[in-house]
Amino acid sequence: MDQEIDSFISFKLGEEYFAISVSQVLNILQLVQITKVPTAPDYMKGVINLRGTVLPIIDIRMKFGMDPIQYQRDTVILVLNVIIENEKVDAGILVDSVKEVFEIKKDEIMPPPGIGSKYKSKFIEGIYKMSDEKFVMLLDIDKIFSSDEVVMLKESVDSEESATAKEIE
Amino acid sequence: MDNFQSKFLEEASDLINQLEQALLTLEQDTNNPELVDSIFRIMHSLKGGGGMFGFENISNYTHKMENMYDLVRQKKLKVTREMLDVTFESADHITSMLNDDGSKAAEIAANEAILNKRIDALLNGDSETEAIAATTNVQTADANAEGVQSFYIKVKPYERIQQNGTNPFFLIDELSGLGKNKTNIFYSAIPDFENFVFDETYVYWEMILATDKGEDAIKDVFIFVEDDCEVTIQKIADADIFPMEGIEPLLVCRHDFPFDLEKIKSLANAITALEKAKQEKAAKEADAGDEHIKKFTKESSISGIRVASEKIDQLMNLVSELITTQAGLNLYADNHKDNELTRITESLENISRQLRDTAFSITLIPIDYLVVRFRRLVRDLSREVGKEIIFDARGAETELDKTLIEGLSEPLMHILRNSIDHGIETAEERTAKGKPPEGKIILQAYYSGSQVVIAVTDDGKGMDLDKIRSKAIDRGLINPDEQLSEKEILDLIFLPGFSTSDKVTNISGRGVGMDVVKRKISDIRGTVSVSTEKDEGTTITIKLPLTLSIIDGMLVRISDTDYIIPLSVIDTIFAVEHSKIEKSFNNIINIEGVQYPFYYLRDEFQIEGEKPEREEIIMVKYDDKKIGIVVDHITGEYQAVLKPLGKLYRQQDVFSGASILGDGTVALVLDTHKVINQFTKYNDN
Repeated sequence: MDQEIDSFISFKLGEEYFAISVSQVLNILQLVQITKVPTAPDYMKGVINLRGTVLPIIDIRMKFGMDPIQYQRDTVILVLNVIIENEKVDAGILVDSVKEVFEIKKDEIMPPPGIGSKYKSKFIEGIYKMSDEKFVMLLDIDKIFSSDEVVMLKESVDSEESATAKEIE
Repeated sequence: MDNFQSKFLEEASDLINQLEQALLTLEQDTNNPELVDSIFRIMHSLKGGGGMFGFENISNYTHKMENMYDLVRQKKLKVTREMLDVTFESADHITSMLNDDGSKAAEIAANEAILNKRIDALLNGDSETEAIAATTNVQTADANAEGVQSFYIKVKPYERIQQNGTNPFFLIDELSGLGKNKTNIFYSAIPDFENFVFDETYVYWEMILATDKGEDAIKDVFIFVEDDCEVTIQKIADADIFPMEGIEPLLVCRHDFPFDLEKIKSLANAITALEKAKQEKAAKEADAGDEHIKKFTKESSISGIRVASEKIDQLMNLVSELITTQAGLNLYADNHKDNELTRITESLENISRQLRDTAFSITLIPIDYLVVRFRRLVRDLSREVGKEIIFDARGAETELDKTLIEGLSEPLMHILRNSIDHGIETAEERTAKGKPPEGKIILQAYYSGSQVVIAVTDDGKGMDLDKIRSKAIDRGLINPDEQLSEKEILDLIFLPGFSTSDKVTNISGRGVGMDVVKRKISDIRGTVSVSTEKDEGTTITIKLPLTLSIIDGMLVRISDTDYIIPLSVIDTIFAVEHSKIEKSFNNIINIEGVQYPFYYLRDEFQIEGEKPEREEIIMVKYDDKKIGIVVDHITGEYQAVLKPLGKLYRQQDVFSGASILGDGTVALVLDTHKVINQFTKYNDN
């Protein structure tokens, strides 16, 4: 093989497309009842029972600074295996809908945009242009989970401040 | 590191553990040949394993130790204090070689050079240190090791044995050379003349043999004919049976009549047992202090299998899942009034419960596992500070969950350090106070209800309440005019940054204090308390739950979420009108004439929604107070399998975990102690 090929799974948050490497996705679940954990930050929706283990569920929309998720027919949980502080942890993220699995050659991935982008480039591995001309953002999910802050960049100073403010609360 | 190497590492650390235990026992009974043997064997195993798995340095080093103990075995060398010291240090040395990732090579080499020099000195016998006086029970042990044993041997040559050039009768000759014997020959299998083949053997025999050469010598006789005959060797007794009274008539040789082996055995056993009892009585009278030795020998004979701890974790997970599924089945059966289903569910539940109990018992480890390390610690530290200290462990067979054992090691170590360094006085001080010169530390473990209690008691100088008080005032922990009870003063030592010792030593004054002990213990859901008496000593008591993974709890509900409160903290439960809570002032409620502070969990957890008219207030124990926790509704008792909430929820420490309910939803397990702490702090701010 000349080129390294990686598979990604794409999903929708609002009107935007994101993708995560399939090597980090363990499972796709239908929405079930989530037990809320009081005193936790709002984007941490709670826990569910995944075949006898307790799985934390994250509202990734809120983590990205979007509105909280509205549960709909297409809402699913992506079960991910992420590395937080050198430790493997399973966690679920709520997404509006799952689109497809697709293969990308390494050199087709464009570097994350610099200034002027909506999301912090350190959380984005790259950008890929789909066949239908839509752009999909390939996420570095480990970094997203390791960070306590809200991921959105728009006004980075503000969001960082509000994240710290939240902690003090 | 490959799999084999890590296996060896695991095995080696076990061996070193055994080595330390054997050494500590040998220290008290320096002439016990069994202990010397077992040390020799451990060195031998380390040498073999080290060579095989690429730890050449360990192999080389243990080779020298093995040689030294071989000389002791052969009685060419006496066990000296220096020898024990060198071996103890060698155990440490081997451990550091095992754990070294190459970064400490120079340090290790230097250490090895020093140790080598000391070993050489020991081997050359020019060591100045005097031999430790022999204890009295040497002779009996020696007599046993070299004693005559009696064996029953039955040899049934195959017909073809002579075709290999073996004359089976030479075997009898050779056996006769080992000791006194009686032989019985069986001719009954010789066929008729027509069927007789000249070079086939039809004769077999049995023999009673008394020899001091041991079973191996007998086996050696048959080494070349193993494949040509059937040999049975049985030990009859650990003594020469020929001179025994009444045995002679049983040993009469009558061809084709087998020895009455059962009779011989039982008679021999009875006589040796009698003999042994006599000896033991004499030995006991001579020396009552050899309990450790017996225990050591006993333990090495306990059989078991090694199982990787991940496998046990896996088993526990499966059992937990089974319990959860069972709860679901129970719920389903309750809702479908089907007799057959109910019957099957009940019998399945019975099995699940038994399986759960068995599986949980597998995860339990006796505290003895830690005690070995502590003996070593006390020995080394007491020498370092120049105090004579006796360490006594009682109830070491008490079993605890392995995760608890792991969590206990450090705090207990710290408590022991404190006792040795600060608690126990020097021999002179003790004599002046009229106490025996050697101090005593007792570690006691026992079950109490659903808890395990571990108490460390020393007979040292005790804690000075006034000193603690003034120190606390110095540190600004309390106000000078604050009135405190004795218990409250003692609790001050658990506050962060409190240390009563005026000088910092390298033993216990490492900047960590009792606050760390307390934190570590509460990490494993335990509590720690202290009591002390001036000049009498100090006792530190640790109380732990029996297991970490299953708790008896009360299932309660707030809004649409289930919570579990451990039964062990619940005192009483009252129903209460919501209006009464609304009207209460400063979170104090009056129930049956008593004022209780309470926390309204709905508000503390910021749970929205309509509040019920009648609520339940659960009085939980908080130290020696009772504090109310208000919930919507009580569902009932529930046996909860505790699951961790995971790394992402590590900030939410008011929950000690979660549990999966019968219907598959998740309930959160409340740590009421932390709930009260957190919301008290929060409200104070």
